[in-house]
Amino acid sequence: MIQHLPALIIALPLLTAFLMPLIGRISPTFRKLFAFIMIFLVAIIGILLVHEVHSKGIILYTFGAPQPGETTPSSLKIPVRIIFEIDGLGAFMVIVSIILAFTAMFYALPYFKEERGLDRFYALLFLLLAGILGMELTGDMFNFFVFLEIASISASALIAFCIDRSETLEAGIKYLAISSIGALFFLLSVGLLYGEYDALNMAMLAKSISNTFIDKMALILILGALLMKAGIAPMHMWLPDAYAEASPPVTLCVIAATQASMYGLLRMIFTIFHPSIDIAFLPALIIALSLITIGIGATMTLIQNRLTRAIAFAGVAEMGYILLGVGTAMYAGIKGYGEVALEGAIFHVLNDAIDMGLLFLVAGSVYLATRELDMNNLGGLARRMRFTAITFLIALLASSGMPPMNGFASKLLIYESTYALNPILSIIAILASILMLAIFVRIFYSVFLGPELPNLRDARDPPVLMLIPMLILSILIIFLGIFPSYAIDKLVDPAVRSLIDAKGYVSAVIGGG
Amino acid sequence: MLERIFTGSGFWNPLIWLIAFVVSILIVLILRSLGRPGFKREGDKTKPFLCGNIKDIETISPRSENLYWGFRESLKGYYKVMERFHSGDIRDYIFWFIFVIVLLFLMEVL
Amino acid sequence: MIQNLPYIAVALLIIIGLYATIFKKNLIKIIMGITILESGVNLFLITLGYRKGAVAPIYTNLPEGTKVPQSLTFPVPQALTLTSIVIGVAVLALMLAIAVQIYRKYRTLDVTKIRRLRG
Repeated sequence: MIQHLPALIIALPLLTAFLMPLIGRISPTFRKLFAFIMIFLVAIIGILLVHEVHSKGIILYTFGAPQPGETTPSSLKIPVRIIFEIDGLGAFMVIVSIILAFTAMFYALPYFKEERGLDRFYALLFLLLAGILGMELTGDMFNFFVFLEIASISASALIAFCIDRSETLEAGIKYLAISSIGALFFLLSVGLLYGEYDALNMAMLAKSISNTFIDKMALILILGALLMKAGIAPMHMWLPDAYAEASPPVTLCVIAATQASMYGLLRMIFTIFHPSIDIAFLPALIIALSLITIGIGATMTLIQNRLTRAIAFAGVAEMGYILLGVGTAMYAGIKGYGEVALEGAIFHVLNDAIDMGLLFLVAGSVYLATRELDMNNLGGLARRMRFTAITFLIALLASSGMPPMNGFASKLLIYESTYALNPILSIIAILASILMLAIFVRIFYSVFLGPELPNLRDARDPPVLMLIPMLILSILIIFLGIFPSYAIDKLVDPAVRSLIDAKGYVSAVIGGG
Repeated sequence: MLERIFTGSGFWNPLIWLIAFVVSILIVLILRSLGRPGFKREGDKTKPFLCGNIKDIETISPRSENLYWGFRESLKGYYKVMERFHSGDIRDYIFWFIFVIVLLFLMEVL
Repeated sequence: MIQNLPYIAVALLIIIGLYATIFKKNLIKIIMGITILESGVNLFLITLGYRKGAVAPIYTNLPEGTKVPQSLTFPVPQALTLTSIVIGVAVLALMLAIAVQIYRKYRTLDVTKIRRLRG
């Protein structure tokens, strides 16, 4: 049982997705119960899997092999089967996605009441979860492409799910078009690598890649596609559209998909391409792109009047912080302050997911209570929606990096390591963080403070079932803020170590060193 | 309780921060208690002074659009460019994606 | 030269696809552009696995005197292409479905007018 966990964690959401239409025929209550039980099971499997990885090291699962650990068939010298390879980084990302998917599902169950076609909604949500987890677990380039496409197709269908509003459709097609083009470029570079090395396995490719022109082209195409999927400026424009127009549970899962793309970026750069490929300008370019992203995200948040869209632009800036850490680590190598930067970046993946998730859940509660997201028509909600206001305050402090929330711990790691590289970088990052705080105070003021508006007098906190996921995320924010070393020791350090030890990733599959 | 994370050039300990926070709040409370004890919150003492004949003073509050007006006004040129950049046109989305890939390609070749 | 012809076709298809997605205003034409781009990538994968004069790698149906594996084409790129085609169909279907709904709401398919989300 334990050795089949990597297959189960993908199979279970897929099975649930395709059973959903059948289950929904029995009764809506049973459907909710089924969805909840299934997401709970997936979460348990994920935690067991992470525990296995932390106690035993890299887990391999070879599909179609007599034994899951048998990567290379006895008659051949190279791994030809599809292999799932889970190391510390993969385990970390599984935790991030499961936190987001679990709270999203918890929130979705009471959020949608009278909506049509909820069978399909839950089916797509589980399909998206399967795609995200697949991206994070797989050790095969083509398989990564397939899961990337599964995630983008189901995510865009979910974004465009409420077809009564025209904006959701627009956001859906934009997301689908741009991510399918990105995935095609990814496939093109998989083809380039396959043509050169006859291999699709990531470990095999990492071993054989050298500094040739075709490899550089492949790296450039992959980088372009994954940077776009991670929402890095100037390719971030789909992100505010998609985040702002989707319903809050969907937004949480799309955040998980974005973070999975960021994981792909880390995996491609540090495990597969990093030691052998030498593109001199790349680290500087990544740092420049991250600064542009931070700047655009923070300043564009200021002029938004739609609550969710403002939060989404703040999310763009947060992705910039993660990339800044990655770029610093690429510049300095994963040692000394480069390692600190990578630690900060990976920790910030978790923190960004939790903070942004909580902000969108709060926005969802505001929408549910008032049917309004335009901040010009909102105000004084703190009198009626105490709990929502407090959670929003926690989330805004966390995402603008105020101590003692979790956002500060990871941002501090990024600031101090970029300071060692170049003080100007960290000055820009800190200034943007202060700007974000100011802008979030504006959002908080215009939504929750001020005199009570006459048409919003009957706004209420959402039902208890919806408060629970918000409470879970708030507690996580404060816990990770006050005990950051706990998360760093238990989750982040294994992830960083597995990125440093690229040779270990390779030799786990191929053997030798 | 060694809840500190080392950043290479220093460390961050949230518990020390919390203690400092509590201590500073205590100092604030002590300073506050030094104030005049006979002060009464009565009459118009605590109301803001407004000239002119404004009614419904309780319901007037700046709307979201008007907050940080000065900031936006001084960065008007920048925001004009940014609004043209975020045109919402799907072709621009694809264009910028291709642009970044071609930029990376050209930087590599040249 | 003649061996490189498929690669030239691949480059042409990708350029045509990108041209259509960036310069055409009609949403349907943009979707067609994406599909052409996808055909280019698929053709690239197929071309990778081709050997001159080789036959399809179906063991039960090989012609007499076929050398295994020297005169077989690579099966892996063909499997990849099949998967990619299936994914492409799903993407195409979903994009067209959303395009129909967009036409119902906006009464146009001109992408310069389908931009309520901006700024």
